[in-house]
Amino acid sequence: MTPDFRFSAEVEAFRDEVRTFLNEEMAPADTVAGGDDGDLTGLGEEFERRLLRRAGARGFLGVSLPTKWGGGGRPASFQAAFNLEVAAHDAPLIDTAVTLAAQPLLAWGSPQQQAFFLPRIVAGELMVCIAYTEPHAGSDLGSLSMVAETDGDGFVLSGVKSLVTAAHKADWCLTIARTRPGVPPREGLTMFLLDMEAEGLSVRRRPTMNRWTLGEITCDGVKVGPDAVLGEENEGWRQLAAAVATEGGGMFHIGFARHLFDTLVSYITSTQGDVSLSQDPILRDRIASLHGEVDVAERLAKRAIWMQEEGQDNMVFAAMAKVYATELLQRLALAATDIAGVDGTLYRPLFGPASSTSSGDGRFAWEYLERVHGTIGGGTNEIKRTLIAQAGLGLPRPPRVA
Amino acid sequence: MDLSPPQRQQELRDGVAALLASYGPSDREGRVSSEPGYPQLWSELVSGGWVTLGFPQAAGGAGGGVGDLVVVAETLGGDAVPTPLPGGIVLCGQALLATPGEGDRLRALLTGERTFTPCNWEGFEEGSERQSTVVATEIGNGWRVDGLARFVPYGADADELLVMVDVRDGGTQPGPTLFAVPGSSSGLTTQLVPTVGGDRYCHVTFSGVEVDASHVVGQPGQATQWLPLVLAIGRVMLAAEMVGAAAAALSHASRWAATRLQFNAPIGSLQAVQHRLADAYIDVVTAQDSVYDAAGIIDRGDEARLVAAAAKAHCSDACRRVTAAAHQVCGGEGIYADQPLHLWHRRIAALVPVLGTVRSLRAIVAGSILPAGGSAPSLLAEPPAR
Repeated sequence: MTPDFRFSAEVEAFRDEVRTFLNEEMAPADTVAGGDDGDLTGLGEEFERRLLRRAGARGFLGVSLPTKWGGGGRPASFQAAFNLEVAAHDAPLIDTAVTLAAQPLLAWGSPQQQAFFLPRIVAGELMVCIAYTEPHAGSDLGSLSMVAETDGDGFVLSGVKSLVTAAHKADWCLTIARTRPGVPPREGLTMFLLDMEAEGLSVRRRPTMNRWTLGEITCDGVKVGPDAVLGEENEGWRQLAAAVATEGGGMFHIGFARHLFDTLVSYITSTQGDVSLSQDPILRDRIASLHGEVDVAERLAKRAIWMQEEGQDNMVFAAMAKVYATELLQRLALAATDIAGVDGTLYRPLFGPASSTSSGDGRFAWEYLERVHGTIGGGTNEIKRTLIAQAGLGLPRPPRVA
Repeated sequence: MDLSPPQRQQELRDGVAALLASYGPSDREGRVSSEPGYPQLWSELVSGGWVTLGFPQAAGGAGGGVGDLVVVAETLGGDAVPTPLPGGIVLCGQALLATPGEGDRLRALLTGERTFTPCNWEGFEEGSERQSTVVATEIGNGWRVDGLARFVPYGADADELLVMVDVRDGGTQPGPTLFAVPGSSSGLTTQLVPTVGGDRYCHVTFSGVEVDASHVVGQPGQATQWLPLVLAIGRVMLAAEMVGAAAAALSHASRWAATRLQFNAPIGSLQAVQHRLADAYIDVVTAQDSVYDAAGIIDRGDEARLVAAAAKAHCSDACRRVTAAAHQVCGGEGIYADQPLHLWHRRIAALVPVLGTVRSLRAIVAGSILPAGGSAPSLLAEPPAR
């Protein structure tokens, strides 16, 4: 009768399965040895590929992708529940191949492309990175300048893509380039699938403020055949807009938030000082407030996912969920470092020999640095707010500046 | 997960909105400075069965659940109509419903035969250290009630006041006890207090008010059994009303922003305005979903105390941000009394401290997460020091 925000019993059962799997796979003995703090996940590529394949073998990765391609064919809540648990376990499985590349492939891939990529993505055998952004084209993707010149029946790509998650280890790359010169900015764009081993393609690992690297991909005359085009030639802008619009509710943010909140609470309750932290009424108020905000963020993400499952346009709600959750993560990290005081400045990587072993032991400062990029990546929160105002509230577009 | 708005609730929304529309916006001023309970509209809401949803038909209610009732409260909030719904119907009715042997009083309440109001209910929850300011002492065959109850909604208008008292019963202290005291009792005086809302709040003084034993609702001390659930339902109702008010303020401000021209362009095309209203929209959506979630949890019979407290705390903050943003966007025009914005603004402000301020609600939530600590008492519980 009344809206019910609980995951269904089937989703909860699946979630339990995922949790059991992750508790085994992410056991400290396995994660301490092979750290790579130059990687977003903090774990080495070998560990990550093994985990991807194991998760693929269990049917987790493609749980909401069509059965035709080896997926589970389950509703989007399953994928969301998977992302939530993965994030809460710090597992390197928030995979751009499934979350960002699979939908464009399903929507526009040729039968050959679908048959090649989708089963391998579902099996955890392929890593696919997403490379839309350029140094001079961030929020304004219409100004991107990578060119793909016609070369026989194929193309030659030249230009630079930046801020590419996992570029250094990806097998393939989904990108977009200009195929027709001299037309308005949003016309003449085409999506491409690039083999990261292609001649002329190079990756520079550029360290972020939190040590891990975001790749910069340079294409210096990369030759591809016509089969590298994803979808229609010169239809890249429309496809890109649709690809961005089908991004889900960002349930992994909720996993991050719950994990950080729980870590903070356990820090508070286990810390003994002259006065127990947990008795401080100001701190109690803040914790209660944050607890409510994590619930708020989860409901928002679930609404976006539910709309997706119902086939409704969830663009506005997905934007809301992203804005709210990423800003909440910053508030959580701020509260954690604040409450921990000088302990909150301890900085250690999540995994590897020097990793933090207990709550507050290096984790909070890591979070404080890590949560900065969430409000920027995947569309800045300002871009999202503009979308919410225009598409959600019907506010007018600004007049064109000549 | 099922978030589809039920057809029945859309019908409720439309039905209440149509009833409100029949009164027209010209009556808005009247709703704020209202005569007792905005009588005509209120009697139509009662006789139409709109406000007795959430009570079983066998008890005289309209059936359905809290999930239906919050839609009605939301719609009333959208028109900034203060009514006895959260106090006189929901708190009083749910208390009577939860107390065995109170069928007659409940039926009188739900049919509108007699009107009730909650009196002195703040601060009796577990963890609160409040000493009641209203005390009952046993005398012969009945009780004598003395003390002061502050901020009683419609306190001068109700036929019966359901008063939460501390019972002085020899040496024992059975705990909070509900008394049904007729408003016409000798020794009972009311003083109307002006508040920002329009709920006709009164301070009620009991000076040697004598009632017989039949005026005790249930058994002495029994209130602690039903208080957590009844307060949870009441908080969700207040939150729902705030949500309705905030949503209305947002759509008013959005319409204004889309049409108000400055510098030859609608101000709603400016990013500073768009982003502020986008945040307000997030506030409205999250406030609304916190209410729906809590209502669903209550209707499923699951533990609702914490989720209701958290929902009202969130709605209090979020909805006040919304009306503040709406006012800023509507600029000077929005501050005129003949414009509706202030009605939603003040309606929310009036609801925020009722049944727990934000900090006292958060103290309840904190108690479930962290080891026991001191709780922040309700601001309403004690008269402020002068």
